[in-house]
Order: sequence, then C-alpha cells, then structure tokens
Amino acid sequence: MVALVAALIVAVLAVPPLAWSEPESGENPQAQYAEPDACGLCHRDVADEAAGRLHGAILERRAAEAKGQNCQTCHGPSQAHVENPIEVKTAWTPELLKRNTSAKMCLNCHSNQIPAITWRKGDHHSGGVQCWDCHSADRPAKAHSEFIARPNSSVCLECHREVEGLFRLNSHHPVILGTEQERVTCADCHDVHGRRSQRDWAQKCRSCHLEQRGPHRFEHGAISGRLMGSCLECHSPHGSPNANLLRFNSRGLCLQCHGDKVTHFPGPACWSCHEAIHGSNSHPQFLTP
Amino acid sequence: MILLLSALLGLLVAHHAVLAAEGDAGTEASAEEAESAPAPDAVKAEGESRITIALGTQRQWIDGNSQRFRQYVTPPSATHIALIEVDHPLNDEGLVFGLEAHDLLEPSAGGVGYLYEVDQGLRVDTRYRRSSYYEDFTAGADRLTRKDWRTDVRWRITPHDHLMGGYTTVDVRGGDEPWRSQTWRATYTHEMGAFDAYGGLHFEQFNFAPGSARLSGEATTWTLGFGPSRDARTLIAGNVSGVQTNLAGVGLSPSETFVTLSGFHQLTDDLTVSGDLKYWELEDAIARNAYARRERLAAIEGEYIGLWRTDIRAGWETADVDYADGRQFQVLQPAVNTTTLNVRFRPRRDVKLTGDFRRRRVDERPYSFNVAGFPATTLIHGQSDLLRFRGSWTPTFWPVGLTAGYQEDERENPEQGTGNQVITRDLSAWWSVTDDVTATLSMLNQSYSQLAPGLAGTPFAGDSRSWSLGAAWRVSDRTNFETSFTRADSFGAIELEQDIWSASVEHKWREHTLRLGVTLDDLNDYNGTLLGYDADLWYAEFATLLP
Repeated sequence: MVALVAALIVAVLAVPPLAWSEPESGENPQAQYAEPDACGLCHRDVADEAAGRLHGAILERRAAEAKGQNCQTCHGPSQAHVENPIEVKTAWTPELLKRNTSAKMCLNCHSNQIPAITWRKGDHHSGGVQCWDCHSADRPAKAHSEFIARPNSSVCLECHREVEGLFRLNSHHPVILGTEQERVTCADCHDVHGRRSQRDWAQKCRSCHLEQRGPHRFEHGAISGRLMGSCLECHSPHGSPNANLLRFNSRGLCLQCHGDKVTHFPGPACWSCHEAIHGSNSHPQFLTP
Repeated sequence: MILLLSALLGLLVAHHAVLAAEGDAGTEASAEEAESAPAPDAVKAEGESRITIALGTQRQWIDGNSQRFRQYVTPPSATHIALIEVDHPLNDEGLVFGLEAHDLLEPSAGGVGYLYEVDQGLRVDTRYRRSSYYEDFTAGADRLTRKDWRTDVRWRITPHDHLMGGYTTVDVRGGDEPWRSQTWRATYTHEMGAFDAYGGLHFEQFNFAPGSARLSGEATTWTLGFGPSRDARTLIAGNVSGVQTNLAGVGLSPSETFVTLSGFHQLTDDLTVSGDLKYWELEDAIARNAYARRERLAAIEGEYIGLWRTDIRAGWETADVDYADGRQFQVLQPAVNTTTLNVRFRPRRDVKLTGDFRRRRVDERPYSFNVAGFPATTLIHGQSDLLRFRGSWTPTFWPVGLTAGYQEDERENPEQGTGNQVITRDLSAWWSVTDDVTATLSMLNQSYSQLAPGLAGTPFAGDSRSWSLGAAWRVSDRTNFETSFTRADSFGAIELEQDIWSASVEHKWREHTLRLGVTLDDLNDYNGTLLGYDADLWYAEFATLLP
C-alpha cells in the first residue's frame, strides 16, 4: 500500500516541469525597480508607520546594498507603478492580497526559519491566515505595524475560542491562568506554521516531560505513537476534569484499552500498583520503575 | 474588599477627571505614546533607550488546600519588582539590547533578553522561566522548582548563509524524580538558488538523580537536508537524520534513522496537491517486550481553494509498521490508514462554516499475550474517528460576533468490546455594547462516555462544563476597566466547582501606569478529597518609564 501511494506521489510531482517560478526580474517594464525613496513620496502615511520598526530599519539599511530593497522587497519591482500610479499596481501587490500567496513575500526572507513547503501544507495557510494576522502588534492586524517575533497565547485564543474553555477545567496546561502566570504557550506544543502529525506528539511531549523519556526496557505500547495516539491516548492536553489531564478518572483510563480488567483488583487506580505506567526498566507489568 | 476596590476605582476616575480638565497637550501626547507603545514581546530597531520598571504588591488570603491553589505556579505574595523592561540601542550601527524580566526574585519568575544587530543579521535571544509548583496536594508534600532556560542564536553570515544554534537546559528539583537535561544545537543553512541546503547537530544530555530507576544518558542527532529557499508553484524538501542514544549501564546503544521526502505542487490557481514519504527505523532497541522497529509512511493530499470562497482539503495517509510481538518471536506488520476531509465555506462574507473529519483504521493489529504466554486479544483501538463542525457569524449591521462548535471524538476496539466517546460543544459571543464597552460570553460543555465488558454505566467518566462572562470598559483614553466571572464544574466521577471573579483597572498618565486588581477564586470539592480552597488575591502595580 505504501509503495502504491509512494508511486502516486512521485508521479504527481514528476508531471509538472520542475521549473521554479522565480519572482520576475528586470525583463519587462513592470519588473524594473524604482529608487528606494520613491515610495514614500506618495505613501507618506505607510512610510511613517514603518519607520523606526525593525522591518523598516532592516530594509532601509539593505536598500544601500541593492536597488529594489526597502518597500519593494515585499511589494515587488515598482518602477512602472511610479511612472503610472493610477493604472499600474506594484508588481506583487495583487499576490500580497491573496491569501494563498500572501506569505510568499515573507518567506523570501524567512524561509530558513519557516520552509515554504511547511507553510503551504499547514493548517493556518488552509484557514486563510496571513502572517501579519498573528505577528502584527496592532490588532486588528496591520501589515506595516510593529511585528512580534513570538506572539503570546492570547493571540491564538482570539480565533480558537473553544480551547479557552478547556484551559479552565480542573487540570490544564498552564497557558491562560486566572490567578497564575502563563507558563506554557500554544507554540510550545503546536507547530503554528505547519502541521504536527499525530505521530510526532510523543516526541514533543517528552521535550518538556523528560521524566517520561525512554527508551525503556519494557515499553508501554500505547505511548510509542506508531499504532496508537501516543500520549494523547490517555491525556487531554488542553484540559480535563480529571487530575493530570487524564481522559478518564482512575481505572477508567486503563479500561479504554484493557477492557478485560474491569474486575482485576477493583477499587484503586491501576497505577497504585503499576506505578511505572509510562515504561519500566525492571518490570514487564510496570509494577516498578 | 469590594468597597475598597470601588474606592480605588473612584479615585482613579476622579484623578482622570482632574487631568482631563487640565487639558494640556503634553498629557495627550503621552496618552498617544502609551497607546502606541510596543507589545512586550515586540522589538524596536532604532530610537532612544527605554527603561520601564514596575513595582507590585500582592496580598493573598487562602483558606483550604493552598497547594492545590499553587499547582502550577506560586504567585508573588508581597511587594516585589513586577517588571523591568529595557530597550537600549548600544550603538548607531543598529546593535540593540533588550531585557524583560517579570517577578524578579520571586519563587516563580521569568524573563527574556535579546541582542540583535541589524546590519549583520545577528540575533541572540535568551529566555528564562522559573516555576515553583506542587504536583502532590497532600499536606507537607514537597514543592517542586523547575527552571527552563533557552538561548537561541541566529546569524546571517552572508546573504546566502545562515547559522542557527542554541542551548537549552531544564532543571527540576524536589519531588520523587528530580532531573536535569541540557541540549546544544546548531544548524548551518546555505542557499543555492531555489534551494536551501542544511546540516545540523543536536546533542542532548539527560540525568536523573542517583538511585533513580530511570536511565540517564545522552543522545546525538545529526541532520542533512534541503528545502525550497522561497515560495514557488512546485516545492520539494528532503531530510535524513540519525539519532544515537547512549544509556548509562546499558550495553546497547539504540539508533534511529529518519528519512523524509515532501512535495507540493500548485496545479492551478485553485488546486494543489502534496505528498510525503517517510521512513523510520530503530536498531539495537533495548526493549524486551513489544515495540515498533520500522515504519514506512506515505501520505497524499489535495486542496481546492476557489469557488464561493470554499476550501476543500482531502488527504489519505498509510503507514506500514514492523512490530515485534511481546515475546519478540516474530515481527507483525500492522497498517495504519488515516483519511481526512476538511471543508471551509463562506456562503456570505459574514458567515464562516467549517467541517473536519478524520477516520483512522488499524489493520492486522498485534495481539497481546495472557499471563500464561498465549496470544489473547488485541489492545489496540481498531477505529478512531473525529468529527468537528464550527460556524461563526459576525454581521456587518450589528456589532456582535457569534461562534459555535460541535466535536465528536470516538475510539473503538470491536474485538474487546471497548470504546469511548467525548462530545464537546462550545459557544462564544462578543457584543460591542458601545464604542467603549464590550461584553463577552463563552461556554463549553464536554461529556464523556465509556464502554467496556462488565462495566455498568460510566463510573469513571467526569463530564465538565465551563462558562465565562466578561466585560471591558474603556472609561477614557487613559483608563480601562475589565471584569469577568468564570465557573468551571465537573460532574460524575469528579465533582468540583470553581468560581473565579476578577476585576482590574488600569490608568495611564504621562509615562506612568497604575494597575489595581482583585481575584476571588473559590474551589469546592464535593468528592471529599480535600482539594477545595478559597483564595482572595489583591494586587497593585505601578509602572513608570524612567527618564
């Protein structure tokens, strides 16, 4: 089956010519760069908004390196627009306004941090989210405002309101906290620019919960993440009415899989005896660590 | 206490009235500056040095289980330095230093420091967080302290060469299982036309306290790969990496190999296809029971974005796993097949509807062995389904927004007769009552059900419900008031009821900000497990921009 799908993928990707569509160069009048200072002559308000910002400063300094930097780094070659501002838009402005190409301009510089393929296959791209929807300091988002390198979780919760209720339950990851301070951010777990496969969760959880890191001599099969949901098989990561983010209380948790153990030492929670439930180095039934 | 807060609020409003009457242009400019002040995480490239300092005082009255109250963090309980924020250009060439430290010298504190150089594209970030908390709520239990420290370096060596690296350390003290880990990492990227080629090394050392049954050791990861250097119609990325793990006192050194190839192609303006091929292998495993030792995965997905603002994404993923059985006598070959369908639809500009569906099936599932060593049954869920609908409405003619969602998460093992289901319903709304007053409402309801042979009812399932009402009032350009009431209940196996009421007021004048707030947090434990507490928190914070 895997081989069949693999062949299909290769076929699909091999059909189109592997020609990389570069931004247009100076072959036609539309692709001529204007002088870097030209934009601010008309777009004074935008120039003022960007001035003093990190982006503005970087682009201004790089304008000295190569003609065409500054505003045109994102808006594209604009000489034709300068010559005929009414009828001709800057080269890439139409693409900036489309949701499926708007990130293209950001990725021209930031691809070493966020590969374009990661973004294009990601959930936020599919959802029509643009870079400045989250990274803009002025909300509602403005494309020329201050940019925030790491937006905090309140930005995520503006759209993902349903998760906020889960963070209020009895046990929850300490993300939004009434009387507490944020200890974990959404981006600590979620790949906000792409998509995290369910298979990768165990690795991610263990990056903070190292005490559960394996390998162990006796592995608990539910956790490996290859055939089951790894940590998410037992834990609800946003919040749960049960202690320790557990999906079910006490032995009900283990009965999810071990349905034949309803009458096995009924009463206490299973991990009262099977205390090394995440994996053991000494006991096949996880009775000791 | 409420009277006290009301009095303080009254004082602030009066103070505002006096300032407004003065009507001097200077304060208006200050207000504008305060409003345009960068968010805490923002960075500034140029300009004058800015130093903000905030002193806070917080008082707590806790009756009941104070350790449950501090399960994630220990808040300040006296006068303390709430914030120091520095944004300081070091020279005229664009070298900037910044610092933001919260709750300095308190049990739970945190901060971020950064240094960047615009011309050379050098940026160094360091983040530190210390958390003081409890995992065990019984009286006299040990308090844990966790310190997370992460430093990242990004350096644009040339326009085509980048170096990214960093160091992370986590140190957990107290409790039954203290541990510490350190990680060093570096990745060098070189742009070659349409591609970035990169190579990286990652070294991790993890140590448990002497006497722990857990295995200390170290893991070295190397990575080589390539990816697109910019967005294009066709994108291909590939990666090979290996992990070598050495464990103290274990003769074997498990090694893992990962190979990934990903592709994306935009067929038309509306239609894209993408795919992934992945291979993973584990050698020299130390496991003595069942374990997965190899996986081959292929995934393909198509997405249509177009007519009637519709987005349809459909995907299929299949993975073949080599799985050593519990006695390691034979290798089984289960297969995991996952189908996904995501639909987003905007019938009108102010209405957004989404639907998501995921079906996962595991075929040829490995069986478990009974105590006599005979194959018994399979413990693996054969089926798991996720179904989710969401809708939102933000009419243009009325300043309200409404979002509602429904989600079903089901898992089933037909051979064993086990299964469970979690249904989540949520509703959230906001209403701009006036230009200055906004009200919000959010509700969530989760119900759990479980099926197992011989299990009567759902004695281990705890349903839950939470709702919150909030209001924000922009009293003036300088003064804001916020309040909210939240109730979170659990029913069934766990019977808890938590009410949190909070109110805060913030007033800005010139370069100063005064914040006052109160939170009343009341947790009732009806199971008699003594988790309940009644906590009142009052705080005041004064922040000022130093000249």
